[in-house]
Amino acid sequence: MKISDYPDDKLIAQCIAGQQSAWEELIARYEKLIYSTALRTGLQPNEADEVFQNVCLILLKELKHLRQTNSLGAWLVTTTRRECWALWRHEKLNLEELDEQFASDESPENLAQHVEDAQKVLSAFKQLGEPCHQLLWRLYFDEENSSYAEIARDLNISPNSIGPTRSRCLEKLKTILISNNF
Amino acid sequence: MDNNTHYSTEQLIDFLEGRLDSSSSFVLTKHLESGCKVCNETFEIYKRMFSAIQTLHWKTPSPSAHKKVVQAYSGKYPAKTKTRWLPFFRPAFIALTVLALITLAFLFNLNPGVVYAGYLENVTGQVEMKDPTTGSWHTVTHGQSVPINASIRSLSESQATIRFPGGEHTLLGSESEVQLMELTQSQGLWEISLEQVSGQTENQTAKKTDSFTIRTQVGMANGHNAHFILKILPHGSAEMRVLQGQVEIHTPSQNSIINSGEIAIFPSTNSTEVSPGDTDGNLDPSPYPSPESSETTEPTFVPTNTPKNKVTPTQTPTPSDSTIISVPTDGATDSPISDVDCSPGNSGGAGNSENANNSVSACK
Repeated sequence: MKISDYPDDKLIAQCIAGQQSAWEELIARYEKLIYSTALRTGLQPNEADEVFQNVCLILLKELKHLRQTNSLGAWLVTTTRRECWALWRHEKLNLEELDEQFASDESPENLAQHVEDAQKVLSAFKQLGEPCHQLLWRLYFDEENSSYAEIARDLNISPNSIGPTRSRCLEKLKTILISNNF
Repeated sequence: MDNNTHYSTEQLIDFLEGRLDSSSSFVLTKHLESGCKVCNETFEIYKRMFSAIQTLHWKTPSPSAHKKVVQAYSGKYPAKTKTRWLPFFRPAFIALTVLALITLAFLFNLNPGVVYAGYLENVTGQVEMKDPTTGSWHTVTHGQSVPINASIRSLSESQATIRFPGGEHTLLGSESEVQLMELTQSQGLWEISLEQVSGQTENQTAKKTDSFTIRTQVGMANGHNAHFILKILPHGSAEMRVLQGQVEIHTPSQNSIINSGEIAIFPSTNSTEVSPGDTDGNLDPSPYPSPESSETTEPTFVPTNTPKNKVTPTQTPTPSDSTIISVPTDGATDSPISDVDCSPGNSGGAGNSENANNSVSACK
């Protein structure tokens, strides 16, 4: 099993055992969650960076004391929000606005679930053959927001066939995910 | 749309992506709210799938922040990284390892077959061992080991006994030289091989001896439960005298067995004393020392337990048809050893070097 396939509890155990690569994998897995949670509170990128570092240092300190390692993502969201709240208070910003933001945002559990699901979707996506792999990459995974016309031209297919092909490919992806207990 | 009719994947995806017009979206929303199980399950899966994909597009912290966090780990936990040897350390490490293994092999006898050795005892006079690396000779003393390939020589009026682990021994007479070629053990039996360069040796095998071989320039002698004396004569020939047991003789021209009480002489193949008339490779034994010859009137070693009256000649020398001369030792007063009083009572038994030493002094 590759280290990227390790569940959170095994990664944490490896971190405690002194394996640097396990810590790097743990950070890679949750840095977007922490950082984006901080950004959604209205912080600037540099402030979100500061929150991200603080949260990771807290995680590093608490590694040996984490009890429910299966809810690490949710714990990180909650810790990030606390750090954001502390930063806002220190900067004497509007805390009520922040509270409203928290209330309207998804729950920490849901956000953590999205991150966990993303790993499963990526794993299933890798199992897709062509042309689905290339088409879904251009439609959903590629950072470039290409239009249907651009994708059709690049993949040398009719623009009108993109919709039906996409549907068939998503159904295949769904089948793989369900077989993997998604 | 009733609950028996379901939306296609394409329609649900378009709805999730906001591609449907408002009226179509409104109808689909109502359909889902009506509780269509099939469409709701499919819709939830795709919704969850798209939410997951969205997280992949979340922004990441700056590289510097990421780096600081990664580096913070090493300060908190001692990282267990694989040892990576610097390239220039590898040859030195390998060389040191090999050197250490060789040293261990010698120190702790890791390969017993290589480090068996004889040892010297009863060293009298000047006895020397040749350093195989430098080629120089060094004086040896009692108790010194004799490793494989070691050469031992005795100077004038000197002698020493080489004793082997199986109980065999070789008494090196004065002005003699031998080299230990082989000393191995297999299933409790010993194989010993010596090369006798010059002089005289008195050899005694033991119960656990599998093979005791002495090579000379003229041939090879292999003793079985035997006590025998081998002498290299000045012109290169070899004289074998068997005191007890049997000794097999192998020369380029023939093989034979010398029994207890017999003496045999092996002519040197490059001897200048080859009979001119001999064309088939056999040598005329006549030029070689006969029992009457004065050349061997002062043997250094004399059998101490060979009763004169019990030895019977087994072969009458017929020099013309053999290169090996068997000489009866039975009470022959003209034998090379006949002028020495070596009566049976002088020694307690053959093969004992002390007895041999006694015999030397007694017989001189």
